[in-house]
Amino acid sequence: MRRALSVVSLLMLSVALASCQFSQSEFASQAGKIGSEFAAAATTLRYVHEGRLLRGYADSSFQSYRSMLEGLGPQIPRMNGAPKGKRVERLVRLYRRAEKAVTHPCLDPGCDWRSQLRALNEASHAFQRASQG
Amino acid sequence: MSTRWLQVGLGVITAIGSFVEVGSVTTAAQAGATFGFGLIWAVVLGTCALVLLLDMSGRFAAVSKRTYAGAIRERFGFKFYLLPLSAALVTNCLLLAAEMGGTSIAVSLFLGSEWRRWYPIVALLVWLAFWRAPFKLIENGPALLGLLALSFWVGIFKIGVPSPGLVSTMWHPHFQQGTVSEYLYIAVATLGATVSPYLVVFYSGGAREEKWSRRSLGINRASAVLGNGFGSLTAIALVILSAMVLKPLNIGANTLNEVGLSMARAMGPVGSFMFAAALFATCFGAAVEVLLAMSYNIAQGFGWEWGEEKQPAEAARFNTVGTLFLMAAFIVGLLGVDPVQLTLYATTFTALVLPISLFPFLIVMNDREYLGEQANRPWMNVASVVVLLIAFVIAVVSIPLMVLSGGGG
Repeated sequence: MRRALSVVSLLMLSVALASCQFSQSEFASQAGKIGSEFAAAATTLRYVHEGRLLRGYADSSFQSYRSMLEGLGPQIPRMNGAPKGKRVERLVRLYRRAEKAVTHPCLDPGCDWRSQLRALNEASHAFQRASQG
Repeated sequence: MSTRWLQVGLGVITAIGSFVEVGSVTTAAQAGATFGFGLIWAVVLGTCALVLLLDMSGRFAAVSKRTYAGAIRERFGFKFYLLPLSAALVTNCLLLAAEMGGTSIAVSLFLGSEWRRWYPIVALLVWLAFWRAPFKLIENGPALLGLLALSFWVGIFKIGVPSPGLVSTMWHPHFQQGTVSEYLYIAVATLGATVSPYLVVFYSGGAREEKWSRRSLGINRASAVLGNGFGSLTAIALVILSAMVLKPLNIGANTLNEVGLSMARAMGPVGSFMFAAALFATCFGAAVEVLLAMSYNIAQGFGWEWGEEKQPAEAARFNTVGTLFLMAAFIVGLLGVDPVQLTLYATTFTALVLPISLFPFLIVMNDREYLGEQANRPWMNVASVVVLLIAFVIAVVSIPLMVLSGGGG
């Protein structure tokens, strides 16, 4: 019985150690995902205004991006492995600006879609860098 | 003779058109967007296993004149049959919900509204096809439309030649810090998406519906080898396209909408339209096939009257169990999990339970009482067992790692 417990403990320890070596922290994993969603939103916005994408496709896509990002913003500072202080505050600030562009994307020709594009690209790059440590 | 060649041609073409579905679209796009060409090996390995298993499945039905589930029950007993059945119930329920989600997303890409609005309508259409459509229409209709997925290759040619650095990721994948577990997780999801056991049940059931005999062995081998061989090229095209377009933009293909951006980059609005149409046809076809496969599995295992060609009243329990299974999957889809995440759960779980699902079938395929001289050759057994074990071992290693890191879709 003791031997079995030792083997199980050893196995669990191995998996835990391997997870540190081969896996990302919760923050790195989520930051990568957030960066990817903002990059997708930026590309969708650009493609609509370049005439490469139909409006219906873009509408549906932005709804999906909103759904993927839903509730992630407030969790960023609390995530396991998240940076502290000004670094995380900057990320949260960029997240909020980019989230506005995802919530109300400027898909018509008349509005200022380029500033939304800048916000999305800036947030995407910041989160991608943060996910890589 | 010419009719026979027509049958072979149609078999090959429909196998090509039905190769991709929500599982292969999701995993191929994530593989390319995250690791470049570094996971093409998983598509190739999975296709080899699928070709072997489908060839066995058709051969078994044609020679023994028995059904897959009926043979498992006859050979191992009713209690044992419940084990692979339980694994199939869980994986196919997740997969059916994901396929219906994928179809709904395709509709929303055309019409611009939220995909969840279309989910009940898609479920109703899937049920109607299952309830009333003849087998030939289910087998050939969506698969012929699914040939639109070949446009992924047109997309690649429009974009141009991939850079030498990207090509080198095929044999030397680039890992960012801590992404080994993600690599293994996508590899196992790719294998699970390609070697789906529901395909074996559907193929065997279809062979019985069409009353295959020993004369059908040529059609069987041609459909399995050529159809799936060429079919896998559409999945590989999606890996390449995602690696060329999505990876440089740091888009991870976390939603199906993102996958279509690569076609929009290559061919403009026509490209995104082609992607949405291919997604609709392949996911809808796969949803009906999963539902039909599950109904075959249960009805054949329990010894009930079954068959898509029969009137619903003639095979009442077969149709009822399919309807109940569809309702269960529909409820799973309503829980709000994104179809891409649902697909990853379904495909990794499929890989984990592959030995339970398919080892009993391999034993049956070696039984000369059923197959005579058409029983498996030793190399077929070795090749199948090796792929199933590779998928199982990677699943055992990668799933806990992804759960511990909070990943896994």
